[in-house]
Amino acid sequence: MALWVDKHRPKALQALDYHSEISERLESMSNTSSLPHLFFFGPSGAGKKTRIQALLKQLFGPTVLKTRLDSRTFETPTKRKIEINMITSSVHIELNPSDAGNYDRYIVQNVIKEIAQNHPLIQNKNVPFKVLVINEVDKLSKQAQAGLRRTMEKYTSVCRIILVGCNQSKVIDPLKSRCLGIRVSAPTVDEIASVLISTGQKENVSVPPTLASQIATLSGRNLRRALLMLESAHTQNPALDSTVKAPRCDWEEYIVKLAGEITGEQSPQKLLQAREMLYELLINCIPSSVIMKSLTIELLKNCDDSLKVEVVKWATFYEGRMNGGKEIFHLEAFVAKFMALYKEYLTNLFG
Amino acid sequence: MPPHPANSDDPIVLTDDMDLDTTPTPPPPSSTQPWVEKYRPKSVEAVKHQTQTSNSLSAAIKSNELPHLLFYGPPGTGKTSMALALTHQLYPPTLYKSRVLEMNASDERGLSTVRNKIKTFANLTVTTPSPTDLSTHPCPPFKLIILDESDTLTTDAQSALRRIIESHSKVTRFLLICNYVSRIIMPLASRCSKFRFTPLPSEAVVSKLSEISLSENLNVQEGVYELINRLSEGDMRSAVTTLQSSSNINGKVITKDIVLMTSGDIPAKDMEGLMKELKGGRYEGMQREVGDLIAGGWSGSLILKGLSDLVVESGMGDLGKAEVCLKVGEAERRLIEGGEEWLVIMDVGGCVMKGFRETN
Repeated sequence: MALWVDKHRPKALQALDYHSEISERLESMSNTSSLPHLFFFGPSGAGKKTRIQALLKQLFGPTVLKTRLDSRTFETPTKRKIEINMITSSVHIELNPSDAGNYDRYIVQNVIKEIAQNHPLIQNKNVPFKVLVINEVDKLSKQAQAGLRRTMEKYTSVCRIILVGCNQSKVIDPLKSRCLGIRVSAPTVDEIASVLISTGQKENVSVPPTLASQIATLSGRNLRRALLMLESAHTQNPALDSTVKAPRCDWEEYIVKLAGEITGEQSPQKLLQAREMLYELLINCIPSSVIMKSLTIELLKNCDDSLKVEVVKWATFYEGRMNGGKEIFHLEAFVAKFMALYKEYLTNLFG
Repeated sequence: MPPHPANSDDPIVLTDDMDLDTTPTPPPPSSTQPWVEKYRPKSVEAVKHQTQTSNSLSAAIKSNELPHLLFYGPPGTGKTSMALALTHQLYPPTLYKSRVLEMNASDERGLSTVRNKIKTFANLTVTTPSPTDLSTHPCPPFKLIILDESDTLTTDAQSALRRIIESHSKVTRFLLICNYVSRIIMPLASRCSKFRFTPLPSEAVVSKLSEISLSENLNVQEGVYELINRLSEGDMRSAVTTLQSSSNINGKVITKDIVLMTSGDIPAKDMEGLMKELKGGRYEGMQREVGDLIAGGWSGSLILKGLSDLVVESGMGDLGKAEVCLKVGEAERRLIEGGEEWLVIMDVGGCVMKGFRETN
């Protein structure tokens, strides 16, 4: 049984729920058959992949949907075997070179270049090229990105490249200037709510508007997450009525609790307790930058404006130091720093 | 100069897997070709703005003498175009295979490649051109090795090149192209005559864009060229791509609105919202606006750039501005190191807010 997210993913450009101006642009581009290289960027869960799929279907017809999983092994000059997976159809290939970590450069130089050089298998008069979708370009090393530069120019007659990434500024300028950038912004809370309700209708479940907007707010404007939350709410309680609360992830609840503990009392004992809670979060594979961000948001709720500036300043400071180091130290240092700031603030307030 | 088929601008590389270009492919229909390729200058003189470089290269073509060259400058200023135009003017298509080796970052270029491929090619004796070739092209008696994007060469590979460049200078010239000259090791840079490619001034961009729209029959409305020029910041490739994408969307008529839509800039309206909250000193408002901007898909560094531009133009006191600049610099570094965008921008926002409060 497919998840609702996949089952009700729109397949055609016309069926997309929001960002109609992007759909129109993509549609007019696919008609002229002079598709430039594209670079889709935007936060996760905004619908980048859905739009690419719809665009490909518009270009090539239903053949795009018949995909299979291919894997390829190749050897780096240092005699290391690397395997990468790609999703292929007869007209397009989708791959994720950043999977190879440090060796992503070789994927760009070998695999992508080779794919780009060959002619498309099916000769289509209207669309004389095939499409290569490269995921997570923002995670590629600078070397690998540089490797794409000339490949993109040289083989344009037979191959178009679609880059997908979350962060536009992690892609080097020379690549960006070769592509037409398409920004897919996160859907608004209302848009998510209406998608939730219409998905409910397709599944014969009536979603109360209050629940829909509650989930939409909690999802942080991430449609995928909102749909998953809706489905999990539905599995827990098949009859969705207005009494059902939007399910929140355990770890989010846990961070709220942690923030409560920290603001409740500032003492070395609490710090020790906070350390245990932070360990618990880390053990459950919550990324440290996510912990830092969510914790800061929760802590800010109890601060006045001048204190907020200070708290964010130190959060950024410790988050910046975290990269590559032992994360627990920096999270703990932040908690200690916050305790100190908060205590000082309280003392000044009440004398 | 005879016209070249669209694919011939790529010299043949001596690799086991021969390039696609060796098989005679029909040139793609002009509609599918990106304009950046279609309107690449065909001769050294046609490259816009870089007059000093093109003058010296034209002189070099006439005199049949060429030093080792190093082109450097920001993206889209015509470095690769200049190099390709130069090879086209020096050698006829028939001599390409034996005279030109072009390598870029899409080829493996470690130490072993330099030792094997480049050295072998540099060693080869120069082929004798046929009389017909000599009548159309100067065909100087040396080969040309173009190393595009050479700032991605490893230091080891660069050191290996030092001696190769010198010992084969009788039969081989090197042409290095890079964005950052500081990434080229000194001993290598000092062996080449350097040419700096400067960002293009508005006249150069506008004149190229109007040439293109003339031959593509575009109806370009007033102010569009200036707008594209401002957005591209002297990068010709991005200017031409913007023009083409705008025409993809709306056919032959190009208006300012369409260009703004295709460009990757944050609309002034969104930034104004953030500025209003910052000036008013409302922290929650700022938190909401920053969240919206990030959910809108804008990257942290773009928001930073927009913010710092607005702060500099605003009525904040000098001391406040200085502090904001300091903070922006720090934030930029954190973003590059992979910091959490929301936190970093909020941090800068707090600093800006403080600046405004102290000014009032």
